Amino acid sequence: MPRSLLKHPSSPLGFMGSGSFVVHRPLVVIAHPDRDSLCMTIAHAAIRGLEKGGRQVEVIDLYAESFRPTMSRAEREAYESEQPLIEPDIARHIELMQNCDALIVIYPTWNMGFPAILKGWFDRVFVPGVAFKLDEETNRIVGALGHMTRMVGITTYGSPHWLARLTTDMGRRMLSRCLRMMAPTVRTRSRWIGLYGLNRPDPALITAFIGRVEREMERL
Amino acid sequence: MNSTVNSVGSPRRFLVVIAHPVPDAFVRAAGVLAVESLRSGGYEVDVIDLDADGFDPVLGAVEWASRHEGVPASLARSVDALRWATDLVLVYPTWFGGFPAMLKGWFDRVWGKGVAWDLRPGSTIPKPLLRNITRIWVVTSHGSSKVMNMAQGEAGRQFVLRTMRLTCARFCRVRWVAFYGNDSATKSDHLQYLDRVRSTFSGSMR
Repeated sequence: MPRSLLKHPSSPLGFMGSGSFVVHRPLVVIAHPDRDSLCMTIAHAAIRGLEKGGRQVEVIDLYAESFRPTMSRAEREAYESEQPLIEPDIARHIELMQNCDALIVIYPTWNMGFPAILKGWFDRVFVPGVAFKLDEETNRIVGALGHMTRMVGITTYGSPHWLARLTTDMGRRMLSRCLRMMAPTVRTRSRWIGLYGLNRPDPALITAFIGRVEREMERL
Repeated sequence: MNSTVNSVGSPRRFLVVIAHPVPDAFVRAAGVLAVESLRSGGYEVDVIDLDADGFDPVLGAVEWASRHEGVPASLARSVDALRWATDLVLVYPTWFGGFPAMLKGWFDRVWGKGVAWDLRPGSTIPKPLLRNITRIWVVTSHGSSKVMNMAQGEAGRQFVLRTMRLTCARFCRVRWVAFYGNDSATKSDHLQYLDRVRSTFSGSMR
């Protein structure tokens, strides 16, 4: 097989070429209401790890920004049309999202899914004309997230691991399957880092987990 | 539990939860049709329209800090309705495989400890509390086809079938009344779906 085929970024096998997985500009999206929570500690560890690895990190803290997660009537009506409506509060988010090469979401799992504020971030920011296009002829979705080589979820669960898998983990499914399909799936890899069983917390496990997040983010 | 029967001799009580920002949206029309069909069948129906009520879906810092004491009193309307109902009808558009933020926020805030589930001392596994809900109905519209949704993992459907059902009655059933392929749908597809909704929610249900 010619090496150029392996290295070309638009080739489905492009990931096999050297260097296409190196992350330079990660975007970290955090959704937790409490600034002193475990989830925030984990987020700080992740950012620390990324910076240690020499990355230029951009951070969106949805609760700190008092982000509005509900799509307004005007936004939804624009969604159906050709031209997306980009409100001032999401203009910066869209720019960051389009310029990043890895998306890292850090959130607490509530009812096996994203907190509403994070789900709303995807609803409002990942709109047609920004994250994907609808092909007029075939009515198929054509993703426009090819610039993301990694989608990473870092999250905490009250339930043990087996229960989260049994109930199929809506948040994980949404990020690593549905949203990843907006990118060329073969090249964009997803990584899931979960801390389970927090209904009965184990301090040793938590400390180990924070260390693991920092190490994994440094190597990303 | 209140065991009175309604005019058609059925003890079923329906709570309909609607979430869509646009008043004349298609899925909203389907929801309204479901409510009308149920009412004309003589059933008791309670409707919670999250967007019209201006529901705040964001679980904030204060509520987070008091989460172990249960759901705050300001959400009593939703909590009472949940405890009253035997059937829960969800009406929403499927966005990115799942609920819109509005409906997810309703779950975040209302579907909490002391309402939907509780923890036995020392246990990590939630114990179900909404034993009164024996059936869940979902009226939703998907932009893409069924095949595409299956490839995407149907996160919302899996949530209803697995996570939600675990906190309801032991043999809680789910009726999935979904409209697929809205991006390429014609008017006749829409009318056909509305007919399906009408027939689903008409007639006797025991």
